[in-house]
Amino acid sequence: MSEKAGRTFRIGVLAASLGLVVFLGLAIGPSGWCLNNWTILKLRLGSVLLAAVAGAGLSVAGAVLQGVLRNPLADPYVLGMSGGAGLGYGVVVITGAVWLGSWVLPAGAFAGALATMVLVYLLAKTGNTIPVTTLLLAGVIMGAMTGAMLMFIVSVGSYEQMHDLVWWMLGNVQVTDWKLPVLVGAATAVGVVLAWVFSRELNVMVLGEEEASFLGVRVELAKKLFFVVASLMTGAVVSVCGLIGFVGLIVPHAVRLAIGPDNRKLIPASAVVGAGFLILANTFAQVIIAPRVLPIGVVTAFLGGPFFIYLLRRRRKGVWT
Amino acid sequence: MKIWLTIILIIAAVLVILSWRGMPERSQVEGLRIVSLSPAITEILFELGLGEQIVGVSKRSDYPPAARKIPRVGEYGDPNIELILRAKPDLVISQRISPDKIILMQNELAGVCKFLLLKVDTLAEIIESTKKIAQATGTSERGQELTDRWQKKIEQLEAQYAHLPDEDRVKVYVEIGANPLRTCGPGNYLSQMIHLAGGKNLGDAATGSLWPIVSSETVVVWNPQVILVLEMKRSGGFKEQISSRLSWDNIEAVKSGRIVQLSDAYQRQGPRLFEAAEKLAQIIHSQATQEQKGE
Repeated sequence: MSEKAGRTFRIGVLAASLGLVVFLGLAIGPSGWCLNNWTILKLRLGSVLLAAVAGAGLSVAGAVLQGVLRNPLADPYVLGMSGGAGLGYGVVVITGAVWLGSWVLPAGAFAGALATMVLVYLLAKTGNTIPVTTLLLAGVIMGAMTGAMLMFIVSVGSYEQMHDLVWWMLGNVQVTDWKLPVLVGAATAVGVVLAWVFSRELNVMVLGEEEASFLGVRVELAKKLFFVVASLMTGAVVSVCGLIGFVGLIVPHAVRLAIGPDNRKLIPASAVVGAGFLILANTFAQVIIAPRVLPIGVVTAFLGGPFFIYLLRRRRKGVWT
Repeated sequence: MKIWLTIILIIAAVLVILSWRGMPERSQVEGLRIVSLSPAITEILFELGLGEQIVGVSKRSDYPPAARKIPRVGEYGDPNIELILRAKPDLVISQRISPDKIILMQNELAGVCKFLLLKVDTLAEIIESTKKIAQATGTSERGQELTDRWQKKIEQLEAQYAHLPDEDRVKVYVEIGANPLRTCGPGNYLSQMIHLAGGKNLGDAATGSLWPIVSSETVVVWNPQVILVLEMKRSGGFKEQISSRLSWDNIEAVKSGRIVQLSDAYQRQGPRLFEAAEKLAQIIHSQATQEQKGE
């Protein structure tokens, strides 16, 4: 197969799989197979769209951070976002502000994530630059500190509050109204497009900052841009869907194993694969113990883990560069 | 060196001050000194007229209001042995909590005082436990009187609704929490009360948990006729919040506006449930919209 035909084939396979997953997500739910009831389809459509947005956002954020930080362990939460968002969410739950309106919880989580992002940035800033190692360390420290504060809140909270918090930490993509998902969708779309537009710069930066600057990339500016894009996307997704783990780490790696490390392909492919993966995971979470629901984060680890191990064992040569 | 010493001294001082603040007051009590380790048991003790004998309660024992003034000896499910011993009890009464905590309590209290372990998960168990407490505290007469009254309420409701077949029962969805959607499952005391009051608890379909989490779609398909909201802190806006959820406008209870907030008596597996069950029957079977608030 020629290279071009191969690419067309891959894109076709990807699109077809996404279509199939979306169809399954709409057709299957906790009340069984159903395609002719608009009331139910509306709900499923909401979950499918939110899952797609969350999957795409987290995967691209993961891919970007893995590139910028030149660290294969990076995921959307590596810079402390999860702790910050969790703390914001926890404060809202514990103070009982929840009942002011359905927007309070996501607003709290988003504020927490944003505050952490700013703090990490300020901590890491050395003169006019942000060294990658310092950034990473600042993120880890902030994550640990906010995590400790969250645990404090959890331990003084009541049993039910604790349970709700844990549930949120494992993520969910249930939609109760359209406004928030649309907002998150818009933010994520902008982030994905920006990441894609600047994927060439990302490619160069993976080689090393010095090399990148020789090749004409304004390294510090690019770093800040990627940092802000990844953080905002993660914050937006987390505020509505909770801390869905695993996607942002595993999807970029899986895609890299399949099509190589070129970010110009990696970014859009990660978005599509991440979206499809979360749609599938959500369908599983909804039906596997219906009428009860599993947190989606449990399913992502269950489905994603073995698949990733398979990929890793199949192609053991250097995949990182 | 000096600075470290200062820091350590300051920490020590803070700890001492905190510990002083944490010491319970020693109440002067005539006769039996009782420690209650759950809010429900505190309520039962007050019903038996033993309020004055209680020298320690669990943190959230807030009913009747007089219970708020009693020294706290830890949280329900996490009793503090040191505080309990300090209260010098003759009798410690606990609801079933995790086995390791119970073993610990039994060991620590052995030879010091009597330890009574009770279950109050169903209405029958509440009656049974009340009898046991009455027996252990020499208030059998009052206990008999109370439990007879409660039993009668149950029998009245049974006479009215027990024969109802499933399809004639009012379909009830209880919302314990909204984020995530949490309802009450089979075996739950609320489920039992709903059945007693002539309703059908839809959450019974979600087996395997007393407080199952369900998806929005499931509730829409269940299509309840009455939605009961059980959450203390919910403000007046709960009705709009529930009605405005995606696709919930098709639910019968939302269409007819039968979304009812339950008072916090329903949150506690205690003696107030018997009266609450009677009220529940009215709520479930009244066609008109109504709201229940507070006590």
